Amino acid sequence: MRKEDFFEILGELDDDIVKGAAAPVKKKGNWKVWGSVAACLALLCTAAAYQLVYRSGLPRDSSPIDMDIQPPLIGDAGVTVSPGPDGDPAGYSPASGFESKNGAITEALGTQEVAETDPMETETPGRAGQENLMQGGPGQEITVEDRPAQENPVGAGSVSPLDKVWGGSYTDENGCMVVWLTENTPENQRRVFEENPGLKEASTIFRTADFSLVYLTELLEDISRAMKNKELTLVSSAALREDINRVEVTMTTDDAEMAARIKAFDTVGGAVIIQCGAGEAVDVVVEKKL
Amino acid sequence: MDDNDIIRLYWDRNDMAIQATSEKYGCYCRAIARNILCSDEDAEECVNDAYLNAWNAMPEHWPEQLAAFLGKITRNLAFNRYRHSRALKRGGGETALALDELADCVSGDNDIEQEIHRRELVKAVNLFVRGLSEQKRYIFVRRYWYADSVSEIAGDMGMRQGSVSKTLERIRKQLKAYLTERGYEL
Repeated sequence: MRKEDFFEILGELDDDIVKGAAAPVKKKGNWKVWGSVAACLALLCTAAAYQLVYRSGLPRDSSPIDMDIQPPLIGDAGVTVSPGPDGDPAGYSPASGFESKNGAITEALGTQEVAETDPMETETPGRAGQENLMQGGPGQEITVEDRPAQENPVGAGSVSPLDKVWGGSYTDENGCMVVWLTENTPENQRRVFEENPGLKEASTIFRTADFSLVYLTELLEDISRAMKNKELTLVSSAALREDINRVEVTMTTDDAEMAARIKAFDTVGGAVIIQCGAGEAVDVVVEKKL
Repeated sequence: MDDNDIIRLYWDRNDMAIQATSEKYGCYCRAIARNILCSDEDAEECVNDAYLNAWNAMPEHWPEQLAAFLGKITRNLAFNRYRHSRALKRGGGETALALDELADCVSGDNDIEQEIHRRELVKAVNLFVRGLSEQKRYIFVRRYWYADSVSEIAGDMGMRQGSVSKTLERIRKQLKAYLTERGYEL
């Protein structure tokens, strides 16, 4: 069979499958969440070890044990243990996961994304799957609250200088890695190669970015949140386009007022591209998913 | 306007049907056509043809999912036009890339006998896609049905492009193995 014929065969996918892919399913969290979760786990381990030392009565040094010292409880060490929320409607969690507690847990425990599985194996999507991943034990839900790096007492998850200037990356049509840097200097380019040993100079292109990936990610989060709160009903999707260093928002119809509202999230200006495209309005999709 | 109201207009042979379709699904259909043809002009013509096809298809047909119904018509028309014109030089690279990726799943031979089993093959492919996780299904359909670029999909998903490419590669391999096990030698 020719590849063109197979492309036509794929055109006959069932309607509900086609429609289901019309609206984005946000993968919860991005790589920055891993660092934050690792920091929280490190805190937990430190606090647990500290408590063990005090509770067991083992001397930490040669001086007598002071039984009046109250070691910090795990709950005071920067981690909140509380009943988890019900979970976001599938498909509308912010991209980075900072806002979504579900997203942080899901990302930390790993989604079904990476493992190779039998295609006939039914995987539990959406909310049910998230709830399963959120259970820390029988009948118990755990929420780990994300903390900015500077509040972290052990200093794990610190922000690299490159993070401030990183604008994103993508592979172009020639297979070259294109890296966006807001400060496209030889020093920063050198840092990129240091932190990404797999990159080859011969196949890496640097371009000057207008916006950092951090800013674009936060912008996308704000827009996603507004979509979830039904403040942007004519918006069918919002995506971070690393290839053009912008956030792209797709509306179902042209509407100047809605466009102005979207652009208001962009405090710097020029970071949002709005276009008409595929997909249904947010409220319709949410109703059907619920 | 509700989908059933729009379909009713077609069944009543009311001229407003096309306008209503254009208002609600014009952008959607244009995006599909533009993904495949990479030309706004061709996409616009294709979408207009799609409206005509929809007009002719109804009233015999009452689509359960109007969006998918229109999307399929548009996709078929766009792809037929693409095959005719081979619009690679006009940046139609994305469709060509998607096709090249699908070459992993097929032999490339023009086997007439396969035509006979087309309906069963479609069923098998549908079963396979349904068996994927929601995320993998989304990535697969966006790439090979909507012909979105890997970067667009990665942006939608909040994933790295490399991860999306890798996922697609795995799904293609799984699909090929799945179809081969069921006796489809593509």
